[in-house]
Amino acid sequence: MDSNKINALLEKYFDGDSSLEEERILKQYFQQDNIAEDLLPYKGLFQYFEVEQEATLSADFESRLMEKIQAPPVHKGIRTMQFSWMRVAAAILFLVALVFVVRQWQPGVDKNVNWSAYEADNPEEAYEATMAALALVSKKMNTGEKETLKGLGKIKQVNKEVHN
Amino acid sequence: MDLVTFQNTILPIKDKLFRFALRIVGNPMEAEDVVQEVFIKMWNNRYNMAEIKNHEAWCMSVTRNLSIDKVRSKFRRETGIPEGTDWRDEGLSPHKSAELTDAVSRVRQLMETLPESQRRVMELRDIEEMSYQEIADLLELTMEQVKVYLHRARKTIRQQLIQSESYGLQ
Repeated sequence: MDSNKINALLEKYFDGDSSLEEERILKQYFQQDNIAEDLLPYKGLFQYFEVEQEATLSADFESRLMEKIQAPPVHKGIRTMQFSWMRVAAAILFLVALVFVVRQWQPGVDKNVNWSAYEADNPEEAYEATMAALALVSKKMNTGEKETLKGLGKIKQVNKEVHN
Repeated sequence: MDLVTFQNTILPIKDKLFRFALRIVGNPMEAEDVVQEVFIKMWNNRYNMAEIKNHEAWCMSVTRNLSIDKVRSKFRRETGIPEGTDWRDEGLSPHKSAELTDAVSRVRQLMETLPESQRRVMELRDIEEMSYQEIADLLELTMEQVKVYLHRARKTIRQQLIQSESYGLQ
């Protein structure tokens, strides 16, 4: 190939503007023996690319890989089994723990207290107990009402101030 | 993906993956381990592979990650291959090895002096003949960065080549 054309391609190459196709032309040019004198400094560069392209895996790589791929995955199977048993065991343990905790925490009636001892056994006692309960409620309600009225009084006062 | 598809479409890129791994880990045995790991990974995931559009790009990117992991763990162990082990002539036929001229060795040395990212881009372009877009995707760079790195790398190499020529070292 004409060395002027190669020169032009080289400029494009070093400017980073060459296409892959143009780069292949350069590689081919420097593979042959008839290289223009002024282009000799670049011979090693393009030959280097060609040499590097030749590095290959060892010849038996493919057969070794195929053996590995097609070997039945024995160990993996066992490990998966063990793993799933561990999961089942963990789940059971968790459930047992959960039941235990729930039972411990359950708020509720203390079965040891004999509530029947507190029950009224004649009408008078029942009446007194009811009246006591109602009195307690009434007292609390009255306190509430008093507080509310106190508050209302203050609001009325404020209202007066504002309107005056 | 069945075994035949795997053998016909994935396996043929094995040497490309190998060279890519080799340039990162710097040792053919380890590079071979990386490639094997990549293929086994792909095979084990073969039922999910339909979702991946570009298998080659996937393999290259897994190769990159595994190679980097390998270099890192080797660095941590601080054992490994003695310095100065020349791995490159392995895998070449004796005929080709004899053809390795001084000029080629000189370029190899020059390439090693380039900053890592520039060198990686130039190797992927000039040796693996990948497009700018493929390189950008693989190295997680923008197209613009790829072009800048490539331009700088080639410029440096050119200057060095011309310099050694004018000193009569060629």
